[in-house]
Amino acid sequence: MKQLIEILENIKPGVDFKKEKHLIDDEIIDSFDIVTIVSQINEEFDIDFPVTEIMPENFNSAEALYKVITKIIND
Amino acid sequence: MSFLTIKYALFLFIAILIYYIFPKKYRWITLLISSYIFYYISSKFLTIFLLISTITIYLAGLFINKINISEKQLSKNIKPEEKKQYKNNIKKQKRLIVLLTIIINFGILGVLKYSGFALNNINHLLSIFNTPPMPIMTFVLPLGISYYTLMALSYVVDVYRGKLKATKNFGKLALYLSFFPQMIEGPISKFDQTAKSLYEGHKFKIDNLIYGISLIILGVFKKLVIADRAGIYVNNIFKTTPHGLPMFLGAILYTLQIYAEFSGCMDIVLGSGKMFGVNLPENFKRPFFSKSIQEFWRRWHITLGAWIKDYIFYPISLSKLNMKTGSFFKKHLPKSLAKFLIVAFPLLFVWLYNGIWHGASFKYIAYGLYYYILIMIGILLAPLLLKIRTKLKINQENIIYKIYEMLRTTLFVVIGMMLFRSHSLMTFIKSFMNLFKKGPINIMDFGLKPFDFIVLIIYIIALIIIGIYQEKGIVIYDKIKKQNIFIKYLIYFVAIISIIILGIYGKGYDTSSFIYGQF
Repeated sequence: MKQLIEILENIKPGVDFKKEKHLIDDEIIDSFDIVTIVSQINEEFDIDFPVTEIMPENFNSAEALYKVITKIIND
Repeated sequence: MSFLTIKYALFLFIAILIYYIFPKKYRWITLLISSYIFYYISSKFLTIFLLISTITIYLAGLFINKINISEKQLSKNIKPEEKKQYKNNIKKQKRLIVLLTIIINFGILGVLKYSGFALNNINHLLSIFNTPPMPIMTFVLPLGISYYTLMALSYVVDVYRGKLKATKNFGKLALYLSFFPQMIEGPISKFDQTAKSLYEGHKFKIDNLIYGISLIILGVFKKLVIADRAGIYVNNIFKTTPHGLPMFLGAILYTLQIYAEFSGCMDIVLGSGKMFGVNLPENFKRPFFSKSIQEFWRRWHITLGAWIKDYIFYPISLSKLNMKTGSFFKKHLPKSLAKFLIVAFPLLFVWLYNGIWHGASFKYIAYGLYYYILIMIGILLAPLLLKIRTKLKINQENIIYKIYEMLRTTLFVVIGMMLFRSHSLMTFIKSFMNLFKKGPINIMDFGLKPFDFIVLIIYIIALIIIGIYQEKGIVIYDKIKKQNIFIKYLIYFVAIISIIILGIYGKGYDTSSFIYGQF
């Protein structure tokens, strides 16, 4: 989780990713940010983030995103 | 069948009556029958293309479902080391089905909509080599094909992605693709956005009926009073392309025309749906309050933007090729430049598709590329602009700064609309150059009287005031609903009287068909 928060803070400084629960709904991150985030996640976690997991609910919070990453790793 | 005819009003009335007469369980069937009657009246034998699309996505969904079920059963008996290979094979099978469905559906759209344009250009090339030209065939487009094809493909791809379970009921799928209010200008709804609402037998609610009628009145007002009024000036201006202010005003009024017309049509569509209790997705969210071009496209023709994002932008962005080149850029280039390059490639496809979706012409391709270039420049300049703002201590939350950003975005949109309206790319260049040339300020010479300008100005002011309230989360309809019965019905009365008195009718000013209906 710490690693993910670091990735997110690096891409979008100034956002409290530990608390924020509506990153997509409140338009804090956009589709361009999502692509940059996924690209970084793929590298750091050594996974292939599938396009099927690109859903607003998976990117609304760092916690939700972390759950998806864990699911992809376990798969 | 145009929305602005007695025929449509009568059709809608009968369809609503039949819908509520039948027991709840069968109401979706009445909607399906009404939708196919509507489509047949409008498109006659071209209905076959709608049926082909429905059959292909129905079968594709069932095949994918079948593969998924057998995958679940067989995967339990497969050795762990063979699992990866097995999963890859299954994926390949499903991909093949999706690919075939895409080829058939986009193939039909491509042949009917773009073959004339393609053959024209091929003949142009052949003429250079003195080769005889190929025969060009032009086709009549089936109603709403650009809209329902995208809906059809979103269904298949979502089933493939596991977001949806394929429906076994052919009739229900046919209704999703053919619901009649959506067939002229969309919205391009996804299956999970509307299906449940379409199939559920809704209870009759007077509130739904009044809200639906209110939306339809608003839509007709926007079309007849605003769009068609602005259209008189626009038609004359784009015929003559004068210099300076009259030309610029023409571009502004065309932006107003297309907004009033398209959003007005959406009001009629959403209102018609609401009268059956069906909720359709919104296509507009106060686009002229956007502070950037990206934001504009999140507020304008929302369902098309969402479709392109989900089915073009993300798949290309997240493709292995783009991810690999992205990591290369990140390692070797500054952060902001790497961020620019990782989206540059997918966005090119996004905007080329957006352009060409609107029509088979270089003008529309240029229209898409215009926004591509604007967005790319925006991303490139973002760090520099941030530095300037910090140095000048400009607060981005300042209302003056926000207004500046909105006006800047609107100006770019107005120029884009000029290109969109121009007859060709060359006439756009001519009109654009004319903006900077001196000429007589004869804005009264293009068909509108001072009174017409006053009507349009009042509408713009109302749009801004209502928009400010809506941005604050206030629902105007709820406010009207809370008024006493006298004021409430006075508002409806004034709206209807305004349409009757201020609407543009008669010879020479016939209510033109909806611009977005031709796409």
